[in-house]
Amino acid sequence: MKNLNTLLQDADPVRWEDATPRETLARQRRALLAEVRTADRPPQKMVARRYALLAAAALAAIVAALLLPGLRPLFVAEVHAAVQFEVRLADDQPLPDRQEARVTGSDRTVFLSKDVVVTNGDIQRAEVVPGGDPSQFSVSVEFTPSGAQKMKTATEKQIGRRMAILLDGKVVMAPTIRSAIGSAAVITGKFTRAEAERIAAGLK
Amino acid sequence: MNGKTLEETAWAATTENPSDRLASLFDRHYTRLYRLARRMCPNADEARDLVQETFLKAARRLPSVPADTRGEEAWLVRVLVNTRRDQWRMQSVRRRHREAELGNGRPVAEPRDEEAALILRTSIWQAVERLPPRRRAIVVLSELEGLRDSEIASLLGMHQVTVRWHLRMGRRDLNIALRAHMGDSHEKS
Repeated sequence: MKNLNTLLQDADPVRWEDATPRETLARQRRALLAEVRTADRPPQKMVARRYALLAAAALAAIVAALLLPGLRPLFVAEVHAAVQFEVRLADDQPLPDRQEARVTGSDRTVFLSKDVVVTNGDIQRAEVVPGGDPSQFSVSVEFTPSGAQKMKTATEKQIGRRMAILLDGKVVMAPTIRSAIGSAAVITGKFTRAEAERIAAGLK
Repeated sequence: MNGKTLEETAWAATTENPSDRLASLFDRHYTRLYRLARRMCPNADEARDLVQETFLKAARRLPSVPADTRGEEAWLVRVLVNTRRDQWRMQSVRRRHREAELGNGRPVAEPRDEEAALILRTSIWQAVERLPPRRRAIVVLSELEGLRDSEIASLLGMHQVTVRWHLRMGRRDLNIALRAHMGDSHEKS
């Protein structure tokens, strides 16, 4: 009598059926990409409504600031995020005006530029995502449109150099720039879930 | 990893635009996901729909998909298994209603071919189809894809002990179904 594994191998439909036809596969791929392109483009009405709301909010803020001096401190007060986030250009070699820093959890030393590319204010969204191991978690960061533009401008002519991500002043990663960086990044820092949640909540 | 560190790979992936990233996910993982989906669905069309649903979920939450190859594969497999679980729960409710109306809990499909090997194949696969989705995924990954317990645990984001328990229970259910089939065959002959 055959064992369970042999019986399952015999019964496996993948063994008996043809692979997905090439044209079906191509159709599924096209449908998926069409879906994401549509999803990327907000409906025109929504865009118009968003601009109208932004204009109304800006106008209200200006009027409030001008007419109610008591409210002014509210507009100029600095808000400190719970986790300080910075992205800076970096190099492997010491150069003038560079700050030496160790990458957390590794033996690598990098030399940080003094200019900060983006900070907490340039983050639109941050969330915890699974890491390479079930016990490890990363933090996915989406930049605001102006943050994404700053990242693009800073990186498009810096291919081959490093870009350091700092959390609370410590370099958690310093990958090499392989192409211009845009709207998103993932901080792969081998965090526990609690650490990743604290960072994601603190970034905004 | 072609000499790249994890962080370099991760960063490179985040620089792609959403369409390119999704197309590259589709090209890298479609075949593997389809094989798993087909072993978890009653027919090829449902399996293809399940894979498409998985990629659509990836499209909607692209920044959440880990950027390294192993992480993105595990993410997609977990989404696929969870999507199948949701479908299975809804179908279970409908099936229970239908069975209550028929007054009969036995599966109605009978193999058309009289050949014994085909009947056995059909019976064992019907038993696989009765396993709850997560257990079915674990049995499929272990028995048909040859993955080790630790690899399955990593892929599905669960503890090895839980994987081993599901495997033991899954094999027990399949053996019970097999013995029942053998008993029926003897009674008929």
